[in-house]
Amino acid sequence: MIKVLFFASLKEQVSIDALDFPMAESLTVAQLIDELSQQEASIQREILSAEDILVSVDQTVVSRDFLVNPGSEVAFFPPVTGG
Amino acid sequence: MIKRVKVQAGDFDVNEETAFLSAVSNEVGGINTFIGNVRDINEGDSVTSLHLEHYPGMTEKQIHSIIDRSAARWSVLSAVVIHRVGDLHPGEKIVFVGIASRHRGDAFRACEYVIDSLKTEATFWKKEVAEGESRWLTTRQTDLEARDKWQKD
Repeated sequence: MIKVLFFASLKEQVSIDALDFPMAESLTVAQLIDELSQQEASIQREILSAEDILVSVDQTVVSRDFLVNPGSEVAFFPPVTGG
Repeated sequence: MIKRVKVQAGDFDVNEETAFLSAVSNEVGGINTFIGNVRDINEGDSVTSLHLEHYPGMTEKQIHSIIDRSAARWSVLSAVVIHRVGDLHPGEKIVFVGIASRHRGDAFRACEYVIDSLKTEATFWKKEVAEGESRWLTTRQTDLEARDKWQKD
């Protein structure tokens, strides 16, 4: 199982803020996006694969080839606009 | 180096924060502070309110890391970053960055580095209500340029 979070405009686009996703073995972020889009109707692969969308694993920003292990917290979000 | 990092809905007291920065040591020779406010006009539209969202846990960790990087580069005796979240209105304060150093040069540079880095790295997102419509803001090119200048120095 992993925890998947969505923030800001992305949260509105997929209509989900958080979900628990069953995952028995490690997957790359790119593979996880494929799995999520196949199993969750409101998650479209194109939205999460967009070039400007950032991904973090256990609260550190990672690239799409990063290996996600079961038990991780994965978050998807748009570019930041604080300050 | 003493740090204070807070992400909160409520307002903050600038005098209280500068007193904290100053009190850490008698070595403090200069304190530089930056306060960011909500503006009433953005991209030509009249702004009614601003909603700020963050990633609890990650955002605070990122701010600590930004402060640590500034302290590795300049002399920093104490640092405070407070960032507000939730619903804010024009004229209200959004962010406070304060740096205390032995000398003013370090305090000025570290303070600017922290706010520039925070704007482009820390997981905060702004949604603006302007002219009756809400829209998520996108990254400004000038903010990216401000960040990039620290890589050249």
